[in-house]
Amino acid sequence: MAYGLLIDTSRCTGCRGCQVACKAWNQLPAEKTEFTGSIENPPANSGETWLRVTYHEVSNGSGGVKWLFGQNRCMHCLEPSCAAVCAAGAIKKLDNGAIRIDQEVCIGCKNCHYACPFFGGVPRFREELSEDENDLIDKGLMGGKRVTGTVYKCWMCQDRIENGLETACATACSVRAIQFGEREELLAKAEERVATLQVVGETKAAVYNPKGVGGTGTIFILTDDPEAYGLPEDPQVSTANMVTKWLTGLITAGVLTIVPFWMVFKAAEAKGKGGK
Amino acid sequence: MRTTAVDYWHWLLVIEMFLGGIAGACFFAGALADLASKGKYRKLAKIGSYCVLPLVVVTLIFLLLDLPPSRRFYFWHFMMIFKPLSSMNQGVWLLSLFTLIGGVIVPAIYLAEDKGILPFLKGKEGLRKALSIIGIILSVGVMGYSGVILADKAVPLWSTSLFLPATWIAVSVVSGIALIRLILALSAEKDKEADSMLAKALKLALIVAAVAIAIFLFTSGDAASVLISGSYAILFWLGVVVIGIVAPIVLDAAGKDMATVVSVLTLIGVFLYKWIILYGGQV
Repeated sequence: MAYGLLIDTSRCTGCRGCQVACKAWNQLPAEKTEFTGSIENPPANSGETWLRVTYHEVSNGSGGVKWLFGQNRCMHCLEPSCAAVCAAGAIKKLDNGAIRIDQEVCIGCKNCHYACPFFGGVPRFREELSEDENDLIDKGLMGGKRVTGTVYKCWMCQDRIENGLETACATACSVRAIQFGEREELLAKAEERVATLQVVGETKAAVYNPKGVGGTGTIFILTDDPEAYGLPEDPQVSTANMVTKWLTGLITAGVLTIVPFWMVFKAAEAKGKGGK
Repeated sequence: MRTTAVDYWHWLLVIEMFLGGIAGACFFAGALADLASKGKYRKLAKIGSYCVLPLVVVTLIFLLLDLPPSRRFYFWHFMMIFKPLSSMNQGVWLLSLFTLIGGVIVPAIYLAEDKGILPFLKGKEGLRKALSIIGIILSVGVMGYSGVILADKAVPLWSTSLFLPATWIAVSVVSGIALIRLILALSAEKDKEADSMLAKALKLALIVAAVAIAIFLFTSGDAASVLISGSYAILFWLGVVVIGIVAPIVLDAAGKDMATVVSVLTLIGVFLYKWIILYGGQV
């Protein structure tokens, strides 16, 4: 059964309970950050921060400002670019819907980071683990594998799912803005919620489940354009045109380079013969 | 635009892509010259093939340095899997196979001829020709794969156009011809005729590269502005276009014996092109 997460931004209050719960459950260390002019903090996702609430100030259409709360996190794409490009075979789509990095297979090349079409690349690199993490690993208490010099991201709390629990973020959310469940059911719920939002005047309300990546395991309910939340309007699987790109390259090399090159040296051979 | 850019990939990768490209290209250029001229320019094929292994070894050293220290010696994980739709995995196998044929077996046949070592390989002309053709095909893959690695990413400058790998192969061919020409120019026995042939080939390759780059920029849309008028415009116009393409063509046309200067300028231009693409994509 494929699970998913439904993020209802119309319910979110921006409390960051999910962000803290993610850190706490996954034993991720705090990051030293600076004030950057926004309460959004830390300013970017990293190997230590897999889920981050984002804050967007946009016009409310009548001269004022409204706040939109979004999230930066793994979208658990149905056609994941990260898994497609991984040359070590470390990233897999699990039967339960999660995209998981096998830290012991990953060699830290960061190919997946650049392939991901969301949030400037979701998988992020970790140079080293914290003392607390190493301590837990030594005691055999760490959920999942953890290896220095590899790439990390949300793993849909596999250790919780396997034990019949919801993800840490969904459990922590006090307003049910994050719901964990069967993906198809969540999609139906999302459509229903959007219909309600439309009725109460949220005319831009929509489900975000982009087709270009085959749909996502992390489904958003938005009340404004995707861009307003820092989401790409029409993300694509990054390897979609790979074969065409190879072909254009090979044609350039074949027709445009080999043929004239061949003629130059062929002429030389003919000339050489003529001279003899 | 990438909202939270982190420069994970940097100058070490530029060096890998540059040297890896030359490794493929010097075999390509040398072997093609030899086959097309029916053996008249066998010397160029020898120079080209002798360069492959050292270049690949240096490329691999930089590749290892580029991996995180704790994972450096797990690089063999790449070779535990055959994943034909992952461009990086394609690269691993293309480079391995190419190195075996173009960097070990073919040069061994030439060494048997020149130095008398491995005498059982001496005079195996059929084998040498067949492997040269296979090597040429593989070398195109070696020149192209690092371009495809960039092109199948969610980075607008690298992925918007379909033609980044085309430019990658085109500029790599340029660098391979330039390296052979440089070695020939610096070697004790000068060969004016071979040099003039290489000069012709280089001019052609430079024109192809210029056209490929122009098509790439045209088809990149807004993403190309970082190179045309943005923060990498000076390096692009001055470094790639003037130093790397125009100057070599003009200097060769002037007819002076400028093989060394032209080759070096061309190599600088190719290096800078790969540099500004890698960094320009991450602005």
